[in-house]
Amino acid sequence: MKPIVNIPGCPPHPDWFVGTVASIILSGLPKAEDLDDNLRPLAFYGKLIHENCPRRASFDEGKFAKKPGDEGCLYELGCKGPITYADCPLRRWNNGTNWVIGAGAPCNGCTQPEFPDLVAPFYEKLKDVELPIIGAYWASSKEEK
Amino acid sequence: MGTSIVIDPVTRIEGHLKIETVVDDGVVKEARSSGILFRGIELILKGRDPRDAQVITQRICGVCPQSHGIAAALNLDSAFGIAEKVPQNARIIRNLIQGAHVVQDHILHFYHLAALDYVDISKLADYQGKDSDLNSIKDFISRGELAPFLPRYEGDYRLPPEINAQAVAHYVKAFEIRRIGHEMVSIFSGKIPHSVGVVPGGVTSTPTVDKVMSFLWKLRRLQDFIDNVYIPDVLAIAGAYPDYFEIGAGCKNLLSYGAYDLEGGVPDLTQRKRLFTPGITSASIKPGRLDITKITEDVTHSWYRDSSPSQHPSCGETTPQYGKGGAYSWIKSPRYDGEVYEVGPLARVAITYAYGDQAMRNLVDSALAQLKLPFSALFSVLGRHLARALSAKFIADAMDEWLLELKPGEPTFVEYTIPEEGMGVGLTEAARGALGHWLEIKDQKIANYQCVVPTTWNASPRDDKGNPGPIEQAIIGTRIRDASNPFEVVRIIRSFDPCLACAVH
Repeated sequence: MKPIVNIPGCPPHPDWFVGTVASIILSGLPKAEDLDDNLRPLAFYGKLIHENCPRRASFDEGKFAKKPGDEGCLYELGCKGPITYADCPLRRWNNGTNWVIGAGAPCNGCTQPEFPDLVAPFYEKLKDVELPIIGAYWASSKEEK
Repeated sequence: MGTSIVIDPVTRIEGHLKIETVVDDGVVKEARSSGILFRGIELILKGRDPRDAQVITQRICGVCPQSHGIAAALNLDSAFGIAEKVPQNARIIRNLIQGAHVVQDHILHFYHLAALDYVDISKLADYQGKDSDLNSIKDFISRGELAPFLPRYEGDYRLPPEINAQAVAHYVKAFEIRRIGHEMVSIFSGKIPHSVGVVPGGVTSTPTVDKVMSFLWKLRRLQDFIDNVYIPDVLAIAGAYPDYFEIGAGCKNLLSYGAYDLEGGVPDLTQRKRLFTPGITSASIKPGRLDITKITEDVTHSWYRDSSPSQHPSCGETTPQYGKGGAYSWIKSPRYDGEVYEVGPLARVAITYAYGDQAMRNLVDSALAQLKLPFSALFSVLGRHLARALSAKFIADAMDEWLLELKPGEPTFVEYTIPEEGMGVGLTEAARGALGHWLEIKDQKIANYQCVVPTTWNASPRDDKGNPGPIEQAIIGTRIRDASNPFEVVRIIRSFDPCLACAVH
C-alpha cells in the first residue's frame, strides 16, 4: 500500500503543502509519530486553532462577540476553532498578512474531516463544547487532588 | 468538406474547455464551445442555511472566489430585506476587497495566461544579461523543465528581442504584484482564496488607520505596475500584432451589471450608482437600460433536462441529463431578451463609456489616440486585452479615493433575521464579467439557488434559435493561416479570459 499524508484545507496553506513535500524530499516519508490520526503532519496540524487563538482569553473569561465587528471570542458566531487543528493563528495567510479570526470572522473548520457538512451551518455555534473551559479545567484538577 | 480543428483542452485558461471548429478554404465555418466538466454547486446549496451561500459559492472557483462572495452577500442582503441598510463602511470595504482581487486577477490573466500567446519565452535560453528574474527563467528552461511553456503553437512570435525579454521579466514580476494584490484582500477579508470578510449585512472587519495605511502602501505598488508596466506592455503587443484589432469581434452585444456601489440606500442594484455603470450596449455605443427580467437560461444544447420556455434564473433549474440529444456542453446558454450578449471588461468599459463617464472617456480616448484606432477596434482580440488593462487602472485609481472615505469607529454591519420565505438577487461584475446570483428561501433554508456566471454567457453553446454563443461567434469567419498552428483560434478564446469552473459551476 502506498503511504498517505493528508494536507487538508479549503484551500490548504501553501506552507503546509510545500513544507510537507520539502520534508519528504529532504528526510523521507514521515514516521507514524509525525502524523495525527487523520494522517495530517503534526508540524502544521498539531494544535487546535483554539489553543493559539489571540481571542482565547476572551473565551476563558466568557466575553463573546454578539455580531460581526464586535470584540471578544467568536464562539457564539459559529467559530469552529475549538475543534479544528491547524496553525493559522501563528502562521497567518497571504505572506503573514492576516487570518480568518484576525478579520473578525469565525473559523469554518476547513482542515477537519467534518468539513463542510458536519461543521455547517457555518454561522451557528458549535454544540457539545463545554463552557467555560477554564472552569472545567479547575474542576477536574480539584477532583485529581 | 472542411478540415476539423479540435482543441481539447484549451490550456492556459481556468478549467476544461473544448473548442471544435470546421475550417473550409482557410476560414472557420463552424465552431462549438463545450464545457466538459460538471460541478453541481447549485444542487449542493439546496436545503442549507442561506447564510452559508457566501462560503459555499466562493468554492465555485479558486481564481475568482471573491466575486462569488460579493454576489452571494448582495443576494442575501436582498433576500433578508436589508439591501438599503448596509452601512457605508461596509459598502466601501466590500469595494476594496473586490477591487484588489479583480485587479490582481486582470494581471494574472494578461501575464500568466494570455501573454505566452505573444511572447516567446524560449528565446530566453540564449539570455546573456544580468537581470535576476530573466536568469531565473533561463535556469528553469536549461533544466529541461519546459512545462508550462511548451508544447505550444509555433511560427508567430513577433516582438523585437529586447521587448520580448522585458515582457518575460514582467511575467516574473507579475507574480510578486499579484501576491501584493492578495495581501490587500487579506487585510480586510482574512485570507484569499476563499476569503471570509464579506457577509450578509456588511463585513466582519473594522476599518483602522493601520489597515488603511497598509492597504494604501500596497495599492501604490499595484498602481505603479499598472501604469508603468501592464498598460505599456499591452500597447507594445498591440504595436506588433495590429491585425488582432481586426479579428474576434463576436456578437457585438455587450451587457454589464455594473459594480462597486458608490452609494447605498437603493434596493434595486441596477438603479444604484456604481463605478461601472449597469446597462447594455452594442456596436453603436448607445447606452441601453438593463432590465434583468429579460434574462433567461436556455438549455437546448446543454446536458440538462429541458425546460420550455427558457427560464428566468429566479426560477431556474439544474437537472443534469448527460447524453441528451443535440447537447454538447455542461454550460447553459444565458440570453438577454432572447439575444446573444458578451460580458467582461470590454462590456464594462464600453457601457460606462456609453453612459458618458468622463474619467472612463479620458482613459479610453487617450489609449485609442496612442494607437490611432477608432472605438470600434475595441471589438477584437486585442481590444478585449486593452479594455481589461484599462479596467484594472480604473478600479485601482478609484480604490485610492474610497480608502479615505472609510470612517474608523462607525458601523460595518447591520443585523437581520432570516425570513421564513423570500427571494433574492445579487448582481456584480467578476473580473470576467457580469455575475448574478438568484435565491429562493423556504422554511429559512435555501429552496433554490442559481448562478449565471460570466463565462456561462461567453462560452455558451447554441440556443433554441440556433444562435451560437459569443466565443463561438467570435471564432466563426476567422481566417486561419496554418491549421496545424491555429494561433488565431486560441488568441480569440483567451481574449475572453474564460473560467470554466465558474461557467459550469
